[in-house]
Amino acid sequence: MTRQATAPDKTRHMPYMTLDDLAEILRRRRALIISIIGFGLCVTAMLSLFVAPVYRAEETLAIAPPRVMAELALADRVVPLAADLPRLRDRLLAHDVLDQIATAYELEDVPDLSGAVDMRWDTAAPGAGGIVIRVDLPDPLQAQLVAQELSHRLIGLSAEERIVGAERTLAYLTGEHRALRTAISGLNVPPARQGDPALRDDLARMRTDLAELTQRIDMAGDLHDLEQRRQLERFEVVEPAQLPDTPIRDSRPLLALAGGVIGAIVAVAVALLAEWRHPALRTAARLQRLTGHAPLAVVPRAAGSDRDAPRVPVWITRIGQAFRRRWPFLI
Amino acid sequence: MSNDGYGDMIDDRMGRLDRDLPRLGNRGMFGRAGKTARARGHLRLVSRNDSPVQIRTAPEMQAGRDPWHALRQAGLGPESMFRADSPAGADTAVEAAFDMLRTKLVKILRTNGWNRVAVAAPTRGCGATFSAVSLAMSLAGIPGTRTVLMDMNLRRPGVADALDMTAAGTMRAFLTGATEMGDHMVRAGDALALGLTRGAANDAGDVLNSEVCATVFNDMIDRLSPDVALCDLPPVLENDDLSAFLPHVDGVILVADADRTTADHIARCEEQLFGQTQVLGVVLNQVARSGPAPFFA
Repeated sequence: MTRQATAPDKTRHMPYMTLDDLAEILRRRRALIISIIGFGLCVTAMLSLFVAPVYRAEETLAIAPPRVMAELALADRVVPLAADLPRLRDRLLAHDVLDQIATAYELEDVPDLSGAVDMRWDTAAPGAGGIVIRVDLPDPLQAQLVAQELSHRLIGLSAEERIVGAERTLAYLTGEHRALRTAISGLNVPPARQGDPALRDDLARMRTDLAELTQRIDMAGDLHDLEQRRQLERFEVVEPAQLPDTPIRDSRPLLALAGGVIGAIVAVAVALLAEWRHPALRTAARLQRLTGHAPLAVVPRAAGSDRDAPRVPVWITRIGQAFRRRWPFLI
Repeated sequence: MSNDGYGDMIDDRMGRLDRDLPRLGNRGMFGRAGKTARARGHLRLVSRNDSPVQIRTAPEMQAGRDPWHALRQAGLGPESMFRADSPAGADTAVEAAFDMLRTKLVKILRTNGWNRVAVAAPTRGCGATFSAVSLAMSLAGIPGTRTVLMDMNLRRPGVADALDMTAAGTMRAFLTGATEMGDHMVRAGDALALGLTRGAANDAGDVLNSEVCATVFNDMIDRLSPDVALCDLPPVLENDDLSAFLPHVDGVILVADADRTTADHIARCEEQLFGQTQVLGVVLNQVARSGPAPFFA
């Protein structure tokens, strides 16, 4: 049972940890672990104050067919509205437009409004598909208003462009007509050539062209008139943006959870580090394993020993004392 | 230096051990061979500075009475946690642990014919004094035995406080021969003699290294003839007091604190004690009762 004191074998003291050891370490350092987890939760809770949830407002528009059925024949002469969509989108989401909206709706705090706005053709939209305008903002009312504003601007921009296009077509055709008519009226045929069949053919062709131009001018005028009266293809709101009541993305619980998880990882790491720095014997089995000594006796702590109470880390105690000194009326 | 008396003591003690061990009979745990301690008249010693030191002999001893019975009786103080009627109440698990330690220790001592045991911890605060006192109380519970508990931690004595007793003098004075054993030692009950001390001695290493100390200590053992002499000693790793005293003990019990002592502490203690004495074992103190494994596992 006795042993002559011998030079110790260093390899004998190589510590390793069993699950029981780990459980005991966690139990013993529970105050430290709980403190660090609590600290992590507090930090993330404070951070979450600066992180707002995100609300999404969606407004869906569809391309409505022409209202005047008799004029449908004209449709093949007009560029389809869907073909204009990419260009309209680019114009609508241009920086200057978004800046105007940001100023109008007091969205200066939103760092990247272009990233918060999306407009795309969605085949899943009601009907045969439509344009969905999505706005993701921290404030639900602002999200709704901006979606409505973008929708309104899209409709207006579309109508304006189509009217302008019709006007330009009409103006162009009118100019062509005028030029052709001037050319015909200014045509001086010498008496010697009045019987020339080639000249007679040219004159007939010009008169035909003039008649055709006149017909196209009439058609362009009709188109212009129809566009102004919004009787042709146009955007219509099929699902107006509603005030969103639940956020689509609220990172606050996730942030708090991350704080807890990271806090727990850090706490366990700190506990293990503390244990690694001071690998106390703890139990008889560990004593025997680490030193080769079977204990002569194992004396338990006296009942009610203050060592059994969770020990609050000194830094937390000091923070508490400072808090109590600074705001004594709170405690 | 005169070695006559000291040589007699060693021979006497070894002879008694050798003679008594096989015959345990009904003469106590270690078969103490009656009153073999002799009262000596004037034992001349040499102190550290080579000045002669005289160990004075009490009248009772001169009269041939057993010095054990001549010791002054003193009870445990009212605040002592070792009193049977202590307000803190007895912790049966702790008592059982020390009873177990007592049994193992007695077996070791009996097997090897030893009776001088040092109790020390690797570092301060491991409970060496508590263990020494508890073990002494447990040993004293064996009828017909004699246990001596000496507070040899001269730098930070703690036995008197643990027992809530007031020491008559300093251990330094006793170990340097300035105080006679009968004036210094007290008896707490029939089975336990105490060598307490008052105040700290900064020259503890010098005192414990001195030959006077050795002579006085051996003389005390011879005269009181205890079955077990426990010496509460300072931490092994803090100073050389224990090493200085090691030649006077048969073995060392290391007291390790479950929460403070590391395997490295034990290894360094082994290095310190290497070649000087036996490590009788390690007492693991302050082991948690809760947790995945029971405290005794």
